Amino acid sequence: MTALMAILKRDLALAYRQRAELMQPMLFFVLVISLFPLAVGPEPKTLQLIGPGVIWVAAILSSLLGLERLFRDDFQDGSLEQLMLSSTSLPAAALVKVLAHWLTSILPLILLSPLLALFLHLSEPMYWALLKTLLLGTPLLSLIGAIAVGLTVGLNRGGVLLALLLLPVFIPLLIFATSAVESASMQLQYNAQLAIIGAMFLFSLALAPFAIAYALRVSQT
Amino acid sequence: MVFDDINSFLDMGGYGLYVWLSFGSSALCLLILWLDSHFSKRRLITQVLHEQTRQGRIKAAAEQSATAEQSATAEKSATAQQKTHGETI
Amino acid sequence: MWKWLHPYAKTERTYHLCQRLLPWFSLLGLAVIILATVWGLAFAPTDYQQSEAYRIIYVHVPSAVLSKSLYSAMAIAAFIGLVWQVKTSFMAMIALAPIGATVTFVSLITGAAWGKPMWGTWWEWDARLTSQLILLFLFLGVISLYKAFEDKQQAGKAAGVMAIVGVINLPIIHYSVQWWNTLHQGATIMKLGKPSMPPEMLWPLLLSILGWALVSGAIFLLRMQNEILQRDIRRPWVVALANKSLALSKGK
Repeated sequence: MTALMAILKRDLALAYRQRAELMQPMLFFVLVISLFPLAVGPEPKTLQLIGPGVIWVAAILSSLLGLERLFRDDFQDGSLEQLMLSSTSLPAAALVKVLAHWLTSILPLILLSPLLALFLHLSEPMYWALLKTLLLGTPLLSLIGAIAVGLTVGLNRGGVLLALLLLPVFIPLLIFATSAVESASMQLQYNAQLAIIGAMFLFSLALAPFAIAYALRVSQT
Repeated sequence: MVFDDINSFLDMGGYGLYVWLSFGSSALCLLILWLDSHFSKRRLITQVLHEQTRQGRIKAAAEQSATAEQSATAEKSATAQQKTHGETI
Repeated sequence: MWKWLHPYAKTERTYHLCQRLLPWFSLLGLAVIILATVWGLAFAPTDYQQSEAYRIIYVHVPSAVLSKSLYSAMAIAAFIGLVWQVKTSFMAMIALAPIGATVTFVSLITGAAWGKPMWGTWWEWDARLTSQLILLFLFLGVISLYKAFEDKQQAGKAAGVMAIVGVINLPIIHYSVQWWNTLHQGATIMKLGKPSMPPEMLWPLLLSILGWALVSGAIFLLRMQNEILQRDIRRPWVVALANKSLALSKGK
């Protein structure tokens, strides 16, 4: 347990020291979302219509950008190998690293979301729905994303390949999350969508750590 | 035969473009896939044969230089022997 | 129970098995596909609702059915490779992938070509076409991941993991897209309606599915052989094989 706490603290400390790099996905997030009013016009109704979808797509793309960080530095300086050779359970360590990554790369995006909801003229019920979908759904992005990152950590040109692999898999999440926000915009219930997202989250929480550990072993032979 | 003549067959009740586009592209895709697989196989086999000839050439060259060295060293020892022989005389 | 399969973990045995099966699959497949196509194009009755345009069904449905079966086959091969560490299984997986991608692509084109006369546009985001599009992305993802690795052992395992992640997601994607589609019906009711199927229409359809399956099988056998040849290119049995085929072609 102490080993896992140590890993968590280490990753958080390292992330804090690389604050500048952490800002990049956040800036990307804001920039991309800002492009849409410029592209489709500032009419509030239009923006409200496309808002949830735009924010979620931007969140997915920004998290993809930040995912590479997950194992890259450890791979380059050899600590990933050390971690794999140590007696700590690799799935548990992977889960802890994903948690640290989510806290440092994705939570900031969620903290920015009120601002972006303002940009896109989302109504208050819409925003609460958005927040809930983000909180419940973004861990999914980190967990499943980590599997693909584990597979491609040794490759030089992982970037776009990562997107190619992960985007189809994120489509159901996108569908249900945006549908929840849309239902909220029409003052309808959206518990069903949240429940499905929650189910997907729990499913990946249970299985992804093992898949991540396996992926790391595959790519690090 | 549902169609009266070849023209109505090609026309497909006005939908000729779509029907023939579908069947044509299907046939084309399968054909390209087949050809790619078939010619890859041919290429791989020729590659094996080329590699074999290349290995043969390398071996032959190695043997040649080995025999050349052998005869060179044989000559050297022969002339060396002659010299010592000559000296003793 | 599975002992009879064990010899096929060896590349040489599998290569020769593919060679023996190849003429059957290719000739039979070609014959069946031609028969089914001619039957469907010229002899199946005209549909009441969709006139002659419905005949596209004889290429759209086989390609769509095969796209899903080939993905499942690829995922099964990946699973066998990952669990039992069988190299030939990974080779089968990567041999299947381009075939799957191609038939998925064909299903999209034929779907679009069917959609234009029926719905008025070449592309519609209906549940079926959208699912097929995502399936194509999944195939291309597996292929790209495999090609990104130098070491083909690693490549097989990595692509295998992605294939399995994809297959777990397939039903989720399928149902979520279907559900999404019901939300966004819009003005037009998109029915890629299957015409009611009297036997005169059904038989050529079943036959063409069989034909496509056989032809895909034949192409798979070829590609499997290519994978084996590539992997074992320096081994003596491959060299002997190459010499034999050279002698045969010279003898001709």
